[in-house]
Amino acid sequence: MNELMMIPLIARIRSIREVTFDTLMFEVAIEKDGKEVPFSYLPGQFAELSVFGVGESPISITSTCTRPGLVEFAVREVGLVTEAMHNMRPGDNMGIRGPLGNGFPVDEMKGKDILFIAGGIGLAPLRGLINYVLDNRSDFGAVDIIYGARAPNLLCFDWEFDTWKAAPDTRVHLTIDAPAAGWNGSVGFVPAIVKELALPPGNRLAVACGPPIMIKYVLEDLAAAGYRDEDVITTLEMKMKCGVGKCGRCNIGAKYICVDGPVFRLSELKTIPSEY
Amino acid sequence: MTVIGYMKRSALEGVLGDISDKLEVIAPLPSGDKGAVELRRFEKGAQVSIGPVKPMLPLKTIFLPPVEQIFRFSKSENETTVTASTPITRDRVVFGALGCDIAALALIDEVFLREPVDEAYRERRTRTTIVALACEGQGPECFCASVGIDPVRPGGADVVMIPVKDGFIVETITKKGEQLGTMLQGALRDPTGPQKKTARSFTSTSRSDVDLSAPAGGWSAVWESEAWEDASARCIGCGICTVVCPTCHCFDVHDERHGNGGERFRKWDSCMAVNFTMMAHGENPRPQHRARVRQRYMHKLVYFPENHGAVACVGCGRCAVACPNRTGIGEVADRMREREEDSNE
Amino acid sequence: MFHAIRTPGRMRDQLKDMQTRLREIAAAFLERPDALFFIGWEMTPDEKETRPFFARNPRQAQRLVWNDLCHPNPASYLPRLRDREGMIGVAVKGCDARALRELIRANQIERKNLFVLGIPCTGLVDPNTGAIASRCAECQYPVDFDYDETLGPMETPALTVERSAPDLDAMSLQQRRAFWKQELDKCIRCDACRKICYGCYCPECIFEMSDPKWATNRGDLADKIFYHAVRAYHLAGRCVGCDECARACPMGVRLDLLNRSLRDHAKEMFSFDGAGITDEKPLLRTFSTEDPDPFFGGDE
Repeated sequence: MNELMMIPLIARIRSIREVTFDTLMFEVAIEKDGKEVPFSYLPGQFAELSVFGVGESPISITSTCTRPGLVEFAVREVGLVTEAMHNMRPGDNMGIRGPLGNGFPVDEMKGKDILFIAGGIGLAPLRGLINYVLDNRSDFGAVDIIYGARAPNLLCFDWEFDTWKAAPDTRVHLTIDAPAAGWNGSVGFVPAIVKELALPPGNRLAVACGPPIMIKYVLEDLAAAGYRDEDVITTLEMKMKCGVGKCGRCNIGAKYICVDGPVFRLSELKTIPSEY
Repeated sequence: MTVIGYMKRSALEGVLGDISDKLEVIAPLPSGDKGAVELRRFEKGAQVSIGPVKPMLPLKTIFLPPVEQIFRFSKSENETTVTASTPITRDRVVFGALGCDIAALALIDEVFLREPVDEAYRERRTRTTIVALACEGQGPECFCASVGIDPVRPGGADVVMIPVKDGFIVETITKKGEQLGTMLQGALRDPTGPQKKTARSFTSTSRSDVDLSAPAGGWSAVWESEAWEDASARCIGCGICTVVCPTCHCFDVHDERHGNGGERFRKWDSCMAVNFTMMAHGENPRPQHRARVRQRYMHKLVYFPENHGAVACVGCGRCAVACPNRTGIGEVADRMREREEDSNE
Repeated sequence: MFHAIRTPGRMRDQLKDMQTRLREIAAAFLERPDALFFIGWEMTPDEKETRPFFARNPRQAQRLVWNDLCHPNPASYLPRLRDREGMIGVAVKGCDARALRELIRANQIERKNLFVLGIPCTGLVDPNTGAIASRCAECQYPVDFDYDETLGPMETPALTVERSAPDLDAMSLQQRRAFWKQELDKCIRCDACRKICYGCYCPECIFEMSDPKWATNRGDLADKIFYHAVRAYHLAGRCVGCDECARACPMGVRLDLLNRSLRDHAKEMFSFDGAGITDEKPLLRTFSTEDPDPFFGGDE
């Protein structure tokens, strides 16, 4: 269990793809003692990626385990470690510990209609889940994806949209915050689109991931639309170090985001302090 | 529990010296010029401090060192080699551990020995024999009896030494303790009747009236308690309470680069520090001092019990002694459970 | 409730009268609609020391005490309260008033938001030894301040006690280096000295920064020396000698001596007479070509 605990394996960078101006996607192969090893995980789990000599950061896995092979991480440059990652090249290696966290409750989601709601880089953890659902299409009901960003060039993973739209019984609703040249789609904040679409709860789960302010309004709107707290799923973010429930800094109340999360149902969030 | 004999106080350093040929010996030794005591490696010729002074830094330092290397790495062209660090090289014995500190290890075990197990911690735990010194109470700050700890024969000890006139009655408790007992044989003699009687009736002055019980209604009942306003107003946020606490175990992780290689190490950290929850993008879920003070006490009194069934406090009283403003956990717990403002006045 | 140790009986009565006045004045202040709280001292639960107390209403003002154990510096709390709307009452003895004067001058708190009660201090007692506290032994400063009220003439306490040992100036460079290595190696970098210091009000301390990373996080002796040396120099000309750093240190590091030696040097080399006494420019913000430069003169 050392690779989870504190000693990382090697994540060899195979390719780097630009997601937005400040976000890169790293495709990595996992190596142990110089040999490539399999890496199995659930959608919604994350890993601690490190740049040796600089530090470690928790990054969500954006690929899906239904497509074995390379593992993908979308990294936005926000601090020292992510800045160092952005300076890396294919062939370079990072450290990796994982998979960590609980992941989405995919088994319990089977048979349900799913409403995905994402804002900005919040699509990164959802992308793995969306692709998981589409790869097991017959296990799930109708799929709606509402995704927004501040501007068209800040929409992450735009190469996925056409594939998603083409999947059976799947709709993609894109929006940007303010009108922009060349943009013919919706304009408006994500919560406004959620309201406008007004998809009834019924057999539907909502999975939301995005900036705190977006989540706040989306949760209110979903509650007003009659979604039960158990049927609303979101992910939380906290400062983390160990990622395995020992270093003590990612707790909210008695829950540790690294091991009890990062995925929570709204019904669970209502049992802990709103210190996030 | 078996009484294996009586050891003279004057024989102690000699015995520890002999043991130190086979094991690493850690004992309370004098530190500095103010009568302070520190748990550190015993070398032959050193004088052990047995007395009414608690080491300022608790026993956890022996199992979770303040700074601990996790691994070293070296880089060549496209390869990085990671070498895990060795936590300890020899089996060890800690002599003179206090009941409060030993009880705290059981609480830290809850966190560090659950999956995934912290291997460095486990290795230190399994390769260390703990010899408790029955504690008669080390000062007015002591209240371990309030949190269900037996300061005389604390659970978790392998051997217990009970002070009697000019020496100790030695009792072994575990298999590990029996093994250590064989190393003590040369210095033991049969205890006299009065010595055995003294050992049997040995008691502690620890206070038993400090109430750390959780509030009825859980965290939400006390989330907006005046206790946080009171405690955080005078608290300077130095975090020394977390340094001296036998149960505090939060750590930070740092990398250092040296040439083509470097190291990763972990280091004690404190929830009282502003940066503790500050994220790289600048968000901080606990930006106010009051929220950090609340986190510390809630973790000890509410969250830890919820997760592990016990209060994360062993009643050593070090926090109140070390705090520049002498704030103790019992006082805050009382205030937390109060319903109305100022009802204690 | 009252714990004068060395203070003679006649003065004890005097202190008690002052405490009564302090409570009356604080209570009256707290009647004001714009009053937030009054910062003074209360006895610790074991009644052996005092600690800062934020009285929020006239009833709580009765918990305030004044005696020869009132070591904490209430002014050190003010920078973090600067954004509170309303009036803050604060009791200050001489060294606290010097700190307060520096804080106001450094724009860390506005005078108009404060109600300042000056307390003529006759010297504090070290609760561990029962002797006059070493900081008081060296205090010779009157404190001019525009107090709102005082409990009597703010005169210099007439205490002449020998300087506390060891005398660093009598040591050779090697001895001094050995002394400080041993002393600073005790440090566990808990930051209590920095957090309790009235003068450490930087919103972000260089020791908390990760970019640029000025100090390593390893915590070895070099780090400890770097930390304490930087802090001491940063306080040169601002340290008011309240010795709260030494009192707060859980490991007993003699930070009082470190700051004292910088105060001594400021006086010897720049005729700077201690912080909070005059309104002359802060020591580290003045430069003269006449300034002595013994470092390059190589006198050791």
